[in-house]
Amino acid sequence: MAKNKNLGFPEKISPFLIRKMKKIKDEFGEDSEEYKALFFQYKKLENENAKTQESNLKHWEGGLAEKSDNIELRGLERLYCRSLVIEPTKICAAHCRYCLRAHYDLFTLKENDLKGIAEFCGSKNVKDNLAEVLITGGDPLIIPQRLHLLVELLLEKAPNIRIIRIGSRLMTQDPERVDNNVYGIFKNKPGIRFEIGTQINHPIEFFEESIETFKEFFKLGVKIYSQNILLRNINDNINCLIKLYDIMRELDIEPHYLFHCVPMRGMHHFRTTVTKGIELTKSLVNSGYISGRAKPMFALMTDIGKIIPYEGTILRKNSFGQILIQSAYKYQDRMRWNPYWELPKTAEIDDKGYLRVWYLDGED
Amino acid sequence: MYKVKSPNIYASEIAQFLNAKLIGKDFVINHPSSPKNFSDNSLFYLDKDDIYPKERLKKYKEILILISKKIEILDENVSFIIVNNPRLQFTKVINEFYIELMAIEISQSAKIDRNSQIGRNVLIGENSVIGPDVSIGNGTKILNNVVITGRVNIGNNCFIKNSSTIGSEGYDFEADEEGELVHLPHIGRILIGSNVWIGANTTIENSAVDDTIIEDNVKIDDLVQVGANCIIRKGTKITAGVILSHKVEIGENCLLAPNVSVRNSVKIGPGVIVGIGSVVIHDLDENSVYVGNPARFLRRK
Repeated sequence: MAKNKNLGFPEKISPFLIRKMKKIKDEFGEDSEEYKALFFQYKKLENENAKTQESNLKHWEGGLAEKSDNIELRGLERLYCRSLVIEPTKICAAHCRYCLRAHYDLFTLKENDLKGIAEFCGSKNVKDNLAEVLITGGDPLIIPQRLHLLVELLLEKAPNIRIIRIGSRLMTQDPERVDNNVYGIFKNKPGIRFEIGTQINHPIEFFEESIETFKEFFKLGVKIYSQNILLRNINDNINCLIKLYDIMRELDIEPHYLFHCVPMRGMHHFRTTVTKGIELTKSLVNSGYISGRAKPMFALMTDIGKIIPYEGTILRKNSFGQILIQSAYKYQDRMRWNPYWELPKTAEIDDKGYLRVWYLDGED
Repeated sequence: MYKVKSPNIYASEIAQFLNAKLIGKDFVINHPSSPKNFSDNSLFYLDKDDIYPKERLKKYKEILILISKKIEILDENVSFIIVNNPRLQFTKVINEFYIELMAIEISQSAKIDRNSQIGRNVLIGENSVIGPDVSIGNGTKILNNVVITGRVNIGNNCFIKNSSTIGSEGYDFEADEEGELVHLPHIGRILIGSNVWIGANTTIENSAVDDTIIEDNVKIDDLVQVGANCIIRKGTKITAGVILSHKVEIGENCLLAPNVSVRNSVKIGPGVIVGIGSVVIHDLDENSVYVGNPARFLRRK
């Protein structure tokens, strides 16, 4: 098999996860589903070097960066109308091998950068259409004091922001680092709704230490939801998903998207077909095994944004294994939200002005 | 204030936090240390003039050094991150990764007048007293046994250490017809900017009528007396034991070394350094260094 060189995403497994993997290996065995669930999520394997159709280095191939006075604001992206993505750092406690940002430049924003972003969020031309920010990365909870500064700056300079969402896996990757510095971010911020979007892909990841951190967040009034990734040979079976969503419901973690693994370089071995994802979601939804309160939405992360495959969304499949997806995004709307957005090569505009996009399917 | 913690953090993560490159192996660092006293899995910094502890390094493993110039790697147990101003970057790393701040709360034993105005995220420690005409900005931390009374405005993110007094009645008496000393009530305000540090057992006096002013980013050490109606401009550092009589005005970005005394109504220009133990009795010109008793011009900066 031809090799796909130039993959520079190093293996990084937190000391906490290393300890857990050893314990699970001792308890369940090397061939167990439980051990493999962690091992394959974090261990760098030769599969990543396989030459496959998945060639993108980023999950969005369109330009998304926000600009102020025509200067690109580092760490800021806008794809949707009323929310902005802020990435204060690219550091994570551990590297998921299917990371969307594996090939991004590594940086951590400095205090002045954060001030510039907060001022942009509250600026005259932006504030009327911006009520929410998603702070992700990297894992922003890994630098809690800088994140706290960002939150304070947003409160001071962008009072239009009412919802702050934070994307983090720190609770399952290294819960020992979730301490008072982290909890302090969510205290004494009246009028702000905080949400943490996490990602738990397998029931084995509900470690005792992780559950304690979730409970602490709930005490502070923080809402927690999970966007899970459908990963081949890790959680692509109905029993695993039922158990996963049952535990989430029990812990009050809201199910959000169940994402199809994105078509990026080095991820082919993680990717099921879209059809399998739809079938598994149908089974979850229609089986009666789990409550309707615990059912996720299956979603594809395409070059033009998230799309949920409702009836009529998938238009056709070509001989290159790509699926044409119909979106409800309008090109004109998109340009209005972010005039610097560039139409990706994979996307086209239909006769009603809606965007369609080609999306590479996976394999079962 | 905080407790020290020992998380296991990869050296590469510290490099990424500093937007710098890790030179050498990646391993876990779990505590900060110094070039004279380090141990396995620790981090320290070397300033330009510091000596590279070559022999000692042979005894320990997995050491990370923040350094300003490239250095030949002599030992695979040592990794480097090259940064401008290693001490500053070391400070940032410790702040972010190796201390856990205490919970922000107002202590049960603190006495806070209901007419005072307290911002968000303000910490007030045990037995501290906050008077009715006091306003405290967001994020300010006031430790234990601090007394703040009179008309006092404190900005955001200030830090006030144990047992300091802000709003101390000014020492000002006038003899009456019978020679009795009568105290003039000090009804002036104390205006403290943002990001001001006030050390332990420091006293700041109200003035008779006008204001005592301490501007943004002023850092005052322990055991300092700031007399009534003093004005301390932005970014000035006043170290331990300094005595400022009343109506002293100090310009921006000055440094007063320990135990400096300043006579009343003296003006010190911006950018002045006054050496240890000096006694300042005349106005001092800007951007110069003064030492001695009485303080004399030593050199331009």
